[in-house]
Amino acid sequence: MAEAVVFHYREADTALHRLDPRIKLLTLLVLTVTLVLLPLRSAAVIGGYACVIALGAGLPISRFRRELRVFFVLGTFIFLGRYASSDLFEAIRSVIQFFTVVLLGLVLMDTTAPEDCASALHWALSFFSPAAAGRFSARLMLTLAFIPMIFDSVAEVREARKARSEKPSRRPLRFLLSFLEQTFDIMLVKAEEISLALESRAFTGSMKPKSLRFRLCDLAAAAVTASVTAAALLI
Amino acid sequence: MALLEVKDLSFRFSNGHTALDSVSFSVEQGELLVISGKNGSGKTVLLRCLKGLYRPSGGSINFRDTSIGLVFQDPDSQIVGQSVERDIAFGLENLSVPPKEITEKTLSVMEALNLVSHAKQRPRTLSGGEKRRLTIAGVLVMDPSILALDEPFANLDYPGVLQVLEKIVMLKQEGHTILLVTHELDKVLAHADRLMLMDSGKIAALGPPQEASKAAEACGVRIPADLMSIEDMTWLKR
Repeated sequence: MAEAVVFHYREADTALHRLDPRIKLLTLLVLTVTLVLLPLRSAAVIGGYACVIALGAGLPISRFRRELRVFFVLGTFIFLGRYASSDLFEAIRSVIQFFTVVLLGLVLMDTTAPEDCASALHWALSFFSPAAAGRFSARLMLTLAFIPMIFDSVAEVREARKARSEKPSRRPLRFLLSFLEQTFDIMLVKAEEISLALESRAFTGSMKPKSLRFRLCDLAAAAVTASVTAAALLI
Repeated sequence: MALLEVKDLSFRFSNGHTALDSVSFSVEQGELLVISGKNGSGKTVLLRCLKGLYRPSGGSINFRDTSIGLVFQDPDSQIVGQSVERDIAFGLENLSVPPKEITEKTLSVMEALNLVSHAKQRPRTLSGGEKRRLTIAGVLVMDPSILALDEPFANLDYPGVLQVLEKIVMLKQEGHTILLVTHELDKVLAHADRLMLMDSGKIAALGPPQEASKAAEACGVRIPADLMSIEDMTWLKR
């Protein structure tokens, strides 16, 4: 079993874990929009706030090192691309925006159970289309719930190949193709099993959300986010 | 009249491989029918056809006011809820059962399968035996007339097998009709009413365990030599 899975719920008892998922979803949306629209100093404020939130959630960044490498590569590309097309400040702002959005996404997924994420999405979408809300939230919940299975499969394939003394560096392309083929093969078999299991439990592709209720601490958290956003706007 | 009647059931995969070939049998109310056979003999395909997940190539399946609940071999494929109680409620929510009834039924099934203390626990953190009990609970809560279990002892340690076997025997004593697919006859055969052995998609033997088990070796199912009588074929202390 994968020990820690990036972008997936981790059970813990922090204030952020207990927070209403709708507040977390709204916080992510508000901060992301603000981040995109504002200049470097404001982006730094939002970025700092995201770091505080991540600390509060006890995000185990060091355990995600392997999975997060790809974001550092992307961050580097963003920096170089923006520096080449604009100036240093714009490049730094873009990198702050990118890592803040990744960090906020990580915190949301790490502290919110898939079912709660789906319920929050259902709540947001039901203002526009209740039918679509049921469909989309069910898809989100299932996708999130099965992420650990994907990581487990990849880890299993990797370890099994290592146990048979495979050296990826010897023939990297052949290794990559064969690794992907084996992993996808397993995933397809599992996907078929899961779809049959869902069908046998009368799953119709839609879900009813969990009932959620705002508490005082949720409103307090929303007020803090609103204050930080206002501060970023004023700067 | 039989609860379930299967006549000349056939199933062919798209690559032309025949998984079931003219399979005919019936199941009576309250019966525990153990289905066994070597790998690829068609046991799992048979259960999936009965559940309606695979469309048979031929033959008929007649139910008498019957629904089948299927427990899959791999519990991880079946568990979708974020807590034990939420997972058990999943099927009922899909059937649009009123919330109050869902709560009552979920609690009742959790009590029956000793899962109450795990109600809020995340399914991923359960042991193998507990996960298997959870998958049985998730199906049982939908109140099926027939409970079909696909290799319920697979990958379980000794305590895990005991946990699951105890519950299967309890369900049989409560009058549930059970179809149990396994190749580990020594764990459960003492509790069976009938044994069905399958070989290459066909029924090789069907009848009381004493009679049908004589064909076990020929069908690729091993019965430990030290277990001379059918009564010994259980892992429960009697």
